[in-house]
Amino acid sequence: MEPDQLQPKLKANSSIFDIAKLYSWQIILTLISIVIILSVILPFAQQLTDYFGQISDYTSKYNTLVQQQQREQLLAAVTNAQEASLAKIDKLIPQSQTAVVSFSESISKKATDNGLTLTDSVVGEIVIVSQNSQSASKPSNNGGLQLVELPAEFKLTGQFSSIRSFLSKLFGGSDFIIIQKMDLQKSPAPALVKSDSSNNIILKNQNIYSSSSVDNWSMTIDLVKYQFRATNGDLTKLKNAYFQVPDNSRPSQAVLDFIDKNYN
Amino acid sequence: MAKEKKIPELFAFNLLPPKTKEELIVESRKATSKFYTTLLPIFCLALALLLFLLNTFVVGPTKDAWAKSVDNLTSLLNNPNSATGKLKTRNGELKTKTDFIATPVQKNVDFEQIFAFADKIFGNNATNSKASSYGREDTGIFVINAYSPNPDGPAQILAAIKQDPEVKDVDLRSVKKDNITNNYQFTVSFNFIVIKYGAGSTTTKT
Repeated sequence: MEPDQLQPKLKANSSIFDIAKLYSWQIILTLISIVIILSVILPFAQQLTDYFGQISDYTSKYNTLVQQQQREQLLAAVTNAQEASLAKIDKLIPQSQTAVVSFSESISKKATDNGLTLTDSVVGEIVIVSQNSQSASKPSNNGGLQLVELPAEFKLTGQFSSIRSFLSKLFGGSDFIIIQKMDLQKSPAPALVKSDSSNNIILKNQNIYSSSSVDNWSMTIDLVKYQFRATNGDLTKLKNAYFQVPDNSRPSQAVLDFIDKNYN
Repeated sequence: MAKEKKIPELFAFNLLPPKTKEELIVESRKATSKFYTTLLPIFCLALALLLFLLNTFVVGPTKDAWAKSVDNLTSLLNNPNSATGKLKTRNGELKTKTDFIATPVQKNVDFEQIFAFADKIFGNNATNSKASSYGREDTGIFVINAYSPNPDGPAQILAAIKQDPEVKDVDLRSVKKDNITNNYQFTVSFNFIVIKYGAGSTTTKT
Protein backbone atom coordinates (compact mmCIF):
# COMPACT_ATOMS: atom_id res chain seq x y z
CA MET A 1 0.00 0.00 0.00
CA GLU A 2 1.32 3.42 -0.96
CA PRO A 3 1.92 5.98 1.79
CA ASP A 4 -0.49 8.39 0.05
CA GLN A 5 -3.25 5.85 0.36
CA LEU A 6 -2.38 4.86 3.93
CA GLN A 7 -2.47 8.37 5.31
CA PRO A 8 -6.28 9.04 4.97
CA LYS A 9 -7.09 5.63 6.37
CA LEU A 10 -4.94 6.20 9.44
CA LYS A 11 -6.51 9.60 9.75
CA ALA A 12 -9.98 8.03 9.62
CA ASN A 13 -9.03 5.39 12.19
CA SER A 14 -7.60 8.01 14.43
CA SER A 15 -10.82 10.05 14.06
CA ILE A 16 -13.04 7.05 15.04
CA PHE A 17 -10.76 6.30 17.94
CA ASP A 18 -10.95 9.90 19.09
CA ILE A 19 -14.72 9.90 18.90
CA ALA A 20 -14.84 6.60 20.79
CA LYS A 21 -12.48 8.01 23.40
CA LEU A 22 -14.56 11.17 23.63
CA TYR A 23 -17.87 9.26 24.12
CA SER A 24 -16.44 6.20 25.88
CA TRP A 25 -18.46 6.92 29.03
CA GLN A 26 -21.71 7.13 27.11
CA ILE A 27 -20.89 4.08 25.03
CA ILE A 28 -20.03 1.94 28.06
CA LEU A 29 -23.12 3.03 29.94
CA THR A 30 -25.32 2.47 26.93
CA LEU A 31 -23.89 -1.02 26.51
CA ILE A 32 -24.47 -1.73 30.21
CA SER A 33 -28.03 -0.48 29.83
CA ILE A 34 -28.60 -2.70 26.82
CA VAL A 35 -27.26 -5.67 28.77
CA ILE A 36 -29.60 -4.85 31.68
CA ILE A 37 -32.56 -4.49 29.33
CA LEU A 38 -31.86 -7.74 27.56
CA SER A 39 -30.87 -9.87 30.50
CA VAL A 40 -33.06 -8.52 33.27
CA ILE A 41 -35.85 -6.24 32.16
CA LEU A 42 -37.09 -8.29 29.22
CA PRO A 43 -37.23 -11.60 31.16
CA PHE A 44 -38.98 -9.85 34.05
CA ALA A 45 -41.41 -8.19 31.64
CA GLN A 46 -42.00 -11.55 29.97
CA GLN A 47 -42.60 -13.14 33.37
CA LEU A 48 -45.02 -10.34 34.27
CA THR A 49 -46.93 -10.85 31.02
CA ASP A 50 -47.01 -14.59 31.67
CA TYR A 51 -48.31 -14.00 35.18
CA PHE A 52 -51.06 -11.73 33.87
CA GLY A 53 -51.97 -14.31 31.25
CA GLN A 54 -52.08 -17.04 33.89
CA ILE A 55 -54.16 -14.85 36.20
CA SER A 56 -56.57 -14.25 33.35
CA ASP A 57 -56.79 -18.01 32.68
CA TYR A 58 -57.24 -18.80 36.36
CA THR A 59 -59.93 -16.13 36.66
CA SER A 60 -61.95 -17.50 33.79
CA LYS A 61 -61.44 -21.08 35.02
CA TYR A 62 -62.46 -20.05 38.53
CA ASN A 63 -65.58 -18.34 37.22
CA THR A 64 -66.48 -21.48 35.26
CA LEU A 65 -65.96 -23.60 38.37
CA VAL A 66 -68.06 -21.23 40.46
CA GLN A 67 -70.84 -21.51 37.90
CA GLN A 68 -70.47 -25.30 38.00
CA GLN A 69 -70.63 -25.20 41.80
CA GLN A 70 -73.76 -23.05 41.68
CA ARG A 71 -75.35 -25.49 39.23
CA GLU A 72 -74.45 -28.41 41.46
CA GLN A 73 -75.89 -26.63 44.48
CA LEU A 74 -79.07 -26.07 42.50
CA LEU A 75 -79.13 -29.81 41.83
CA ALA A 76 -79.97 -30.26 45.50
CA ALA A 77 -83.48 -28.98 44.98
CA VAL A 78 -84.01 -31.06 41.85
CA THR A 79 -82.25 -34.25 42.86
CA ASN A 80 -83.72 -34.45 46.36
CA ALA A 81 -87.17 -34.33 44.79
CA GLN A 82 -86.18 -37.06 42.36
CA GLU A 83 -84.65 -39.34 44.94
CA ALA A 84 -87.98 -41.09 45.40
CA SER A 85 -88.10 -41.73 41.64
CA LEU A 86 -84.63 -43.24 41.73
CA ALA A 87 -85.68 -45.54 44.57
CA LYS A 88 -88.71 -46.61 42.49
CA ILE A 89 -86.55 -47.25 39.43
CA ASP A 90 -84.17 -49.34 41.55
CA LYS A 91 -87.13 -51.33 42.82
CA LEU A 92 -88.79 -51.76 39.41
CA ILE A 93 -85.61 -52.43 37.47
CA PRO A 94 -83.27 -53.89 40.03
CA GLN A 95 -79.56 -54.10 39.55
CA SER A 96 -79.03 -57.75 40.26
CA GLN A 97 -78.30 -61.16 38.85
CA THR A 98 -80.66 -62.58 36.31
CA ALA A 99 -84.27 -62.92 37.43
CA VAL A 100 -85.35 -65.13 34.54
CA VAL A 101 -86.75 -67.89 36.72
CA SER A 102 -88.51 -65.65 39.24
CA PHE A 103 -89.99 -63.58 36.40
CA SER A 104 -91.40 -66.66 34.72
CA GLU A 105 -92.77 -67.92 38.02
CA SER A 106 -94.40 -64.59 38.90
CA ILE A 107 -96.19 -64.46 35.53
CA SER A 108 -97.33 -68.06 35.88
CA LYS A 109 -98.68 -67.31 39.35
CA LYS A 110 -100.47 -64.19 38.12
CA ALA A 111 -102.04 -66.17 35.29
CA THR A 112 -103.17 -68.93 37.64
CA ASP A 113 -104.55 -66.40 40.13
CA ASN A 114 -106.69 -64.97 37.34
CA GLY A 115 -108.08 -68.34 36.34
CA LEU A 116 -105.94 -68.82 33.24
CA THR A 117 -104.17 -71.94 32.15
CA LEU A 118 -100.55 -71.63 31.16
CA THR A 119 -99.89 -73.96 28.25
CA ASP A 120 -96.37 -72.92 27.34
CA SER A 121 -93.67 -70.45 28.29
CA VAL A 122 -90.22 -69.57 27.03
CA VAL A 123 -88.01 -67.10 28.87
CA GLY A 124 -84.63 -65.79 27.78
CA GLU A 125 -82.20 -63.02 28.38
CA ILE A 126 -80.82 -60.35 26.04
CA VAL A 127 -78.29 -57.71 26.95
CA ILE A 128 -79.22 -54.46 25.28
CA VAL A 129 -76.03 -52.99 23.89
CA SER A 130 -77.37 -49.89 22.22
CA GLN A 131 -80.00 -47.61 23.56
CA ASN A 132 -81.81 -44.38 22.83
CA SER A 133 -79.69 -42.51 20.29
CA GLN A 134 -80.43 -39.21 21.98
CA SER A 135 -79.06 -40.45 25.21
CA ALA A 136 -76.03 -38.84 26.69
CA SER A 137 -75.13 -42.00 28.53
CA LYS A 138 -73.70 -44.24 25.88
CA PRO A 139 -72.64 -47.72 26.91
CA SER A 140 -69.03 -46.68 26.45
CA ASN A 141 -69.25 -44.04 29.15
CA ASN A 142 -71.82 -45.43 31.52
CA GLY A 143 -69.30 -47.28 33.63
CA GLY A 144 -70.38 -50.69 32.47
CA LEU A 145 -74.05 -50.44 33.30
CA GLN A 146 -76.17 -52.58 31.02
CA LEU A 147 -79.87 -52.91 30.57
CA VAL A 148 -80.79 -56.55 30.44
CA GLU A 149 -84.00 -57.55 28.71
CA LEU A 150 -85.77 -60.70 29.82
CA PRO A 151 -88.10 -61.58 26.96
CA ALA A 152 -90.73 -64.18 27.65
CA GLU A 153 -93.43 -65.76 25.54
CA PHE A 154 -96.44 -67.17 27.34
CA LYS A 155 -99.31 -69.13 25.87
CA LEU A 156 -102.41 -68.92 28.00
CA THR A 157 -105.99 -70.02 27.71
CA GLY A 158 -109.07 -68.99 29.61
CA GLN A 159 -112.17 -66.89 29.63
CA PHE A 160 -112.14 -63.45 28.07
CA SER A 161 -112.87 -61.72 31.36
CA SER A 162 -110.00 -63.61 33.02
CA ILE A 163 -107.62 -62.57 30.27
CA ARG A 164 -108.69 -58.95 30.59
CA SER A 165 -108.22 -59.12 34.32
CA PHE A 166 -104.79 -60.72 33.89
CA LEU A 167 -103.67 -58.05 31.43
CA SER A 168 -105.03 -55.31 33.62
CA LYS A 169 -103.20 -56.65 36.68
CA LEU A 170 -100.05 -57.12 34.66
CA PHE A 171 -100.19 -53.51 33.54
CA GLY A 172 -101.19 -52.05 36.88
CA GLY A 173 -98.94 -54.28 38.95
CA SER A 174 -95.89 -53.28 40.88
CA ASP A 175 -93.51 -54.79 38.31
CA PHE A 176 -92.31 -52.95 35.23
CA ILE A 177 -93.30 -55.44 32.53
CA ILE A 178 -93.85 -54.47 28.92
CA ILE A 179 -96.31 -56.25 26.68
CA GLN A 180 -94.30 -56.28 23.49
CA LYS A 181 -96.70 -58.26 21.37
CA MET A 182 -100.05 -59.86 21.93
CA ASP A 183 -102.31 -62.14 20.01
CA LEU A 184 -105.60 -62.94 21.65
CA GLN A 185 -108.18 -65.02 19.88
CA LYS A 186 -111.21 -67.01 20.55
CA SER A 187 -110.40 -70.71 20.66
CA PRO A 188 -111.78 -72.59 17.67
CA ALA A 189 -115.04 -74.39 18.08
CA PRO A 190 -114.88 -78.20 18.27
CA ALA A 191 -113.83 -79.77 15.04
CA LEU A 192 -116.57 -80.26 12.56
CA VAL A 193 -116.99 -83.52 10.76
CA LYS A 194 -117.95 -83.37 7.17
CA SER A 195 -117.92 -85.94 4.41
CA ASP A 196 -116.83 -85.18 0.88
CA SER A 197 -118.20 -86.58 -2.32
CA SER A 198 -116.24 -89.81 -1.95
CA ASN A 199 -117.48 -90.34 1.60
CA ASN A 200 -114.05 -89.65 3.08
CA ILE A 201 -114.20 -88.00 6.49
CA ILE A 202 -112.60 -84.59 6.54
CA LEU A 203 -111.80 -82.91 9.83
CA LYS A 204 -112.35 -79.19 9.55
CA ASN A 205 -110.37 -77.36 12.16
CA GLN A 206 -110.91 -73.82 11.03
CA ASN A 207 -111.46 -70.86 13.25
CA ILE A 208 -115.20 -70.84 13.50
CA TYR A 209 -116.85 -68.13 15.47
CA SER A 210 -120.40 -67.79 16.44
CA SER A 211 -122.28 -65.99 19.11
CA SER A 212 -123.04 -69.26 20.80
CA SER A 213 -119.45 -70.58 20.89
CA VAL A 214 -117.89 -71.30 24.24
CA ASP A 215 -116.13 -68.33 25.88
CA ASN A 216 -112.69 -69.86 25.65
CA TRP A 217 -109.83 -67.71 24.45
CA SER A 218 -106.19 -68.39 23.81
CA MET A 219 -103.52 -65.77 24.07
CA THR A 220 -99.91 -65.64 23.02
CA ILE A 221 -98.19 -62.80 24.76
CA ASP A 222 -94.61 -61.55 24.53
CA LEU A 223 -93.58 -59.90 27.76
CA VAL A 224 -90.37 -58.14 28.60
CA LYS A 225 -88.94 -57.45 32.00
CA TYR A 226 -85.87 -55.29 32.47
CA GLN A 227 -82.92 -55.42 34.80
CA PHE A 228 -79.78 -53.39 35.26
CA ARG A 229 -76.45 -55.07 35.52
CA ALA A 230 -72.91 -53.85 36.08
CA THR A 231 -70.80 -55.69 33.52
CA ASN A 232 -67.70 -56.01 35.62
CA GLY A 233 -69.44 -55.80 38.99
CA ASP A 234 -67.28 -52.84 39.91
CA LEU A 235 -69.64 -50.48 41.70
CA THR A 236 -66.94 -47.87 42.32
CA LYS A 237 -66.39 -47.57 38.58
CA LEU A 238 -70.12 -47.29 38.11
CA LYS A 239 -70.35 -44.59 40.75
CA ASN A 240 -67.52 -42.67 39.08
CA ALA A 241 -69.32 -42.93 35.76
CA TYR A 242 -72.47 -41.47 37.34
CA PHE A 243 -70.32 -38.70 38.81
CA GLN A 244 -68.89 -37.89 35.37
CA VAL A 245 -72.34 -37.20 33.90
CA PRO A 246 -72.46 -33.44 33.26
CA ASP A 247 -74.40 -31.61 35.94
CA ASN A 248 -76.50 -29.82 33.33
CA SER A 249 -77.85 -33.17 32.07
CA ARG A 250 -81.30 -33.79 33.39
CA PRO A 251 -83.07 -37.15 33.70
CA SER A 252 -85.76 -37.92 31.16
CA GLN A 253 -88.86 -36.13 32.40
CA ALA A 254 -91.16 -38.49 30.49
CA VAL A 255 -89.71 -41.45 32.37
CA LEU A 256 -89.94 -39.68 35.73
CA ASP A 257 -93.57 -38.75 35.04
CA PHE A 258 -94.29 -42.33 34.03
CA ILE A 259 -92.68 -43.73 37.18
CA ASP A 260 -94.38 -41.21 39.47
CA LYS A 261 -97.83 -41.69 38.01
CA ASN A 262 -97.81 -45.45 37.70
CA TYR A 263 -95.83 -46.70 40.64
CA ASN A 264 -96.83 -45.00 43.87
CA MET B 1 -14.62 29.87 54.55
CA ALA B 2 -15.20 33.32 53.11
CA LYS B 3 -11.43 34.03 53.11
CA GLU B 4 -10.59 30.77 51.37
CA LYS B 5 -12.95 31.65 48.60
CA LYS B 6 -11.31 34.98 48.04
CA ILE B 7 -7.76 33.57 47.45
CA PRO B 8 -8.39 32.03 44.01
CA GLU B 9 -10.20 35.17 43.02
CA LEU B 10 -7.15 37.26 43.95
CA PHE B 11 -4.73 35.07 42.00
CA ALA B 12 -7.05 34.06 39.29
CA PHE B 13 -5.49 34.06 35.90
CA ASN B 14 -5.78 31.84 32.92
CA LEU B 15 -3.11 31.27 30.36
CA LEU B 16 -5.32 29.25 28.13
CA PRO B 17 -7.15 31.07 25.47
CA PRO B 18 -10.83 31.47 26.20
CA LYS B 19 -12.99 28.81 24.75
CA THR B 20 -14.97 29.63 21.73
CA LYS B 21 -18.73 29.67 21.81
CA GLU B 22 -18.84 26.50 19.69
CA GLU B 23 -16.50 24.71 22.10
CA LEU B 24 -18.65 25.75 25.04
CA ILE B 25 -21.75 24.46 23.28
CA VAL B 26 -20.04 21.14 22.51
CA GLU B 27 -18.87 20.84 26.10
CA SER B 28 -22.32 21.63 27.38
CA ARG B 29 -23.83 19.02 25.08
CA LYS B 30 -21.20 16.52 26.16
CA ALA B 31 -22.02 17.14 29.84
CA THR B 32 -25.75 16.78 29.19
CA SER B 33 -25.14 13.61 27.20
CA LYS B 34 -22.98 12.21 30.02
CA PHE B 35 -25.65 13.06 32.55
CA TYR B 36 -28.43 11.36 30.63
CA THR B 37 -26.27 8.40 29.71
CA THR B 38 -25.47 7.94 33.38
CA LEU B 39 -29.16 8.06 34.12
CA LEU B 40 -29.92 5.36 31.54
CA PRO B 41 -28.45 2.32 33.39
CA ILE B 42 -29.78 3.72 36.66
CA PHE B 43 -33.23 3.93 35.10
CA CYS B 44 -32.85 0.41 33.70
CA LEU B 45 -31.80 -0.93 37.07
CA ALA B 46 -34.71 0.88 38.71
CA LEU B 47 -37.10 -0.54 36.16
CA ALA B 48 -35.66 -4.03 36.63
CA LEU B 49 -36.01 -3.65 40.39
CA LEU B 50 -39.57 -2.44 40.01
CA LEU B 51 -40.42 -5.38 37.77
CA PHE B 52 -38.76 -7.79 40.17
CA LEU B 53 -40.68 -6.37 43.12
CA LEU B 54 -43.91 -6.36 41.12
CA ASN B 55 -43.41 -9.97 40.07
CA THR B 56 -42.24 -11.20 43.45
CA PHE B 57 -44.55 -9.38 45.82
CA VAL B 58 -47.63 -8.39 43.84
CA VAL B 59 -48.39 -10.29 40.65
CA GLY B 60 -46.70 -13.60 41.57
CA PRO B 61 -48.57 -14.03 44.87
CA THR B 62 -51.81 -12.95 43.19
CA LYS B 63 -51.28 -15.61 40.53
CA ASP B 64 -50.46 -18.20 43.19
CA ALA B 65 -53.58 -17.26 45.13
CA TRP B 66 -55.74 -17.70 42.02
CA ALA B 67 -54.05 -21.03 41.28
CA LYS B 68 -54.71 -22.19 44.84
CA SER B 69 -58.36 -21.09 44.68
CA VAL B 70 -58.83 -22.90 41.38
CA ASP B 71 -57.14 -26.03 42.77
CA ASN B 72 -59.26 -25.96 45.91
CA LEU B 73 -62.48 -25.51 44.01
CA THR B 74 -61.50 -28.14 41.44
CA SER B 75 -60.71 -30.69 44.12
CA LEU B 76 -63.95 -29.85 45.89
CA LEU B 77 -65.95 -30.30 42.70
CA ASN B 78 -64.06 -33.45 41.76
CA ASN B 79 -64.73 -35.11 45.09
CA PRO B 80 -67.62 -37.54 44.68
CA ASN B 81 -67.93 -37.77 48.45
CA SER B 82 -68.56 -34.07 48.99
CA ALA B 83 -72.13 -32.86 49.46
CA THR B 84 -72.35 -31.54 45.90
CA GLY B 85 -70.48 -34.61 44.64
CA LYS B 86 -73.14 -36.88 46.07
CA LEU B 87 -75.84 -34.78 44.43
CA LYS B 88 -74.01 -34.97 41.13
CA THR B 89 -73.60 -38.75 41.43
CA ARG B 90 -77.30 -39.18 42.18
CA ASN B 91 -78.25 -36.95 39.26
CA GLY B 92 -75.91 -38.93 36.99
CA GLU B 93 -77.37 -42.23 38.12
CA LEU B 94 -80.89 -41.00 37.54
CA LYS B 95 -79.94 -39.59 34.14
CA THR B 96 -78.22 -42.81 33.05
CA LYS B 97 -81.03 -45.08 34.21
CA THR B 98 -83.86 -42.95 32.83
CA ASP B 99 -82.05 -42.78 29.49
CA PHE B 100 -81.82 -46.55 29.46
CA ILE B 101 -85.52 -47.10 30.12
CA ALA B 102 -86.85 -44.20 28.02
CA THR B 103 -87.48 -46.49 25.06
CA PRO B 104 -89.03 -49.40 27.00
CA VAL B 105 -91.37 -46.97 28.74
CA GLN B 106 -92.72 -45.91 25.36
CA LYS B 107 -93.71 -49.51 24.68
CA ASN B 108 -95.74 -49.86 27.83
CA VAL B 109 -99.31 -49.76 26.65
CA ASP B 110 -102.51 -50.32 28.57
CA PHE B 111 -104.29 -53.08 26.66
CA GLU B 112 -107.53 -52.20 28.36
CA GLN B 113 -107.60 -49.35 25.82
CA ILE B 114 -108.06 -51.73 22.88
CA PHE B 115 -110.73 -53.76 24.72
CA ALA B 116 -112.59 -50.60 25.65
CA PHE B 117 -112.33 -49.38 22.06
CA ALA B 118 -113.59 -52.71 20.70
CA ASP B 119 -116.49 -52.62 23.16
CA LYS B 120 -117.37 -49.16 21.89
CA ILE B 121 -117.24 -50.10 18.22
CA PHE B 122 -118.78 -53.58 18.38
CA GLY B 123 -121.11 -52.95 21.31
CA ASN B 124 -124.01 -51.34 19.44
CA ASN B 125 -123.59 -52.24 15.83
CA ALA B 126 -126.60 -53.02 13.72
CA THR B 127 -124.87 -55.79 11.75
CA ASN B 128 -124.25 -58.01 14.80
CA SER B 129 -120.52 -58.01 14.10
CA LYS B 130 -118.30 -59.35 16.86
CA ALA B 131 -114.57 -59.19 17.60
CA SER B 132 -112.90 -62.56 17.55
CA SER B 133 -109.29 -61.66 18.24
CA TYR B 134 -107.15 -58.78 19.37
CA GLY B 135 -103.50 -58.19 18.82
CA ARG B 136 -100.66 -55.78 18.75
CA GLU B 137 -97.87 -56.26 16.26
CA ASP B 138 -94.20 -55.51 16.72
CA THR B 139 -94.67 -52.27 14.80
CA GLY B 140 -97.14 -51.07 17.42
CA ILE B 141 -100.17 -51.45 15.15
CA PHE B 142 -103.30 -52.79 16.83
CA VAL B 143 -105.26 -55.48 15.02
CA ILE B 144 -108.82 -56.70 15.56
CA ASN B 145 -110.18 -59.74 13.76
CA ALA B 146 -113.97 -59.86 13.64
CA TYR B 147 -116.84 -61.67 12.01
CA SER B 148 -120.23 -60.61 10.87
CA PRO B 149 -123.25 -62.54 9.59
CA ASN B 150 -124.21 -59.45 7.63
CA PRO B 151 -122.37 -58.61 4.38
CA ASP B 152 -122.49 -54.92 5.34
CA GLY B 153 -120.78 -55.68 8.64
CA PRO B 154 -117.13 -55.14 7.61
CA ALA B 155 -117.91 -51.85 5.85
CA GLN B 156 -119.99 -50.51 8.73
CA ILE B 157 -117.39 -51.43 11.34
CA LEU B 158 -114.66 -49.87 9.19
CA ALA B 159 -116.71 -46.68 8.86
CA ALA B 160 -117.33 -46.57 12.61
CA ILE B 161 -113.60 -46.98 13.36
CA LYS B 162 -112.63 -44.36 10.79
CA GLN B 163 -115.05 -41.86 12.30
CA ASP B 164 -113.66 -42.37 15.77
CA PRO B 165 -111.34 -39.53 16.81
CA GLU B 166 -109.32 -41.87 19.05
CA VAL B 167 -107.64 -43.71 16.19
CA LYS B 168 -105.71 -43.14 12.99
CA ASP B 169 -104.15 -45.20 10.17
CA VAL B 170 -107.28 -47.32 9.93
CA ASP B 171 -107.02 -50.13 7.41
CA LEU B 172 -109.29 -53.00 6.38
CA ARG B 173 -106.72 -55.69 5.76
CA SER B 174 -108.87 -58.56 4.58
CA VAL B 175 -112.45 -59.75 4.21
CA LYS B 176 -113.45 -63.29 3.46
CA LYS B 177 -116.61 -65.34 3.68
CA ASP B 178 -116.58 -68.55 5.68
CA ASN B 179 -118.71 -70.98 3.71
CA ILE B 180 -119.40 -73.19 6.72
CA THR B 181 -120.73 -70.53 9.07
CA ASN B 182 -121.69 -68.03 6.36
CA ASN B 183 -119.97 -65.35 8.42
CA TYR B 184 -117.84 -62.62 6.92
CA GLN B 185 -114.45 -62.63 8.62
CA PHE B 186 -112.45 -59.43 8.45
CA THR B 187 -109.33 -57.86 9.90
CA VAL B 188 -108.99 -54.19 10.82
CA SER B 189 -105.74 -52.51 11.81
CA PHE B 190 -105.31 -49.07 13.35
CA ASN B 191 -103.27 -47.06 15.75
CA PHE B 192 -104.32 -44.92 18.68
CA ILE B 193 -103.61 -41.24 18.35
CA VAL B 194 -103.03 -41.04 22.08
CA ILE B 195 -101.75 -44.18 23.71
CA LYS B 196 -102.56 -44.62 27.35
CA TYR B 197 -99.55 -45.26 29.53
CA GLY B 198 -101.87 -46.06 32.36
CA ALA B 199 -103.01 -44.52 35.62
CA GLY B 200 -104.20 -41.36 33.92
CA SER B 201 -100.96 -40.53 32.16
CA THR B 202 -100.91 -40.35 28.38
CA THR B 203 -98.53 -39.67 25.62
CA THR B 204 -99.14 -38.63 22.06
CA LYS B 205 -98.17 -41.27 19.60
CA THR B 206 -95.71 -39.91 17.12
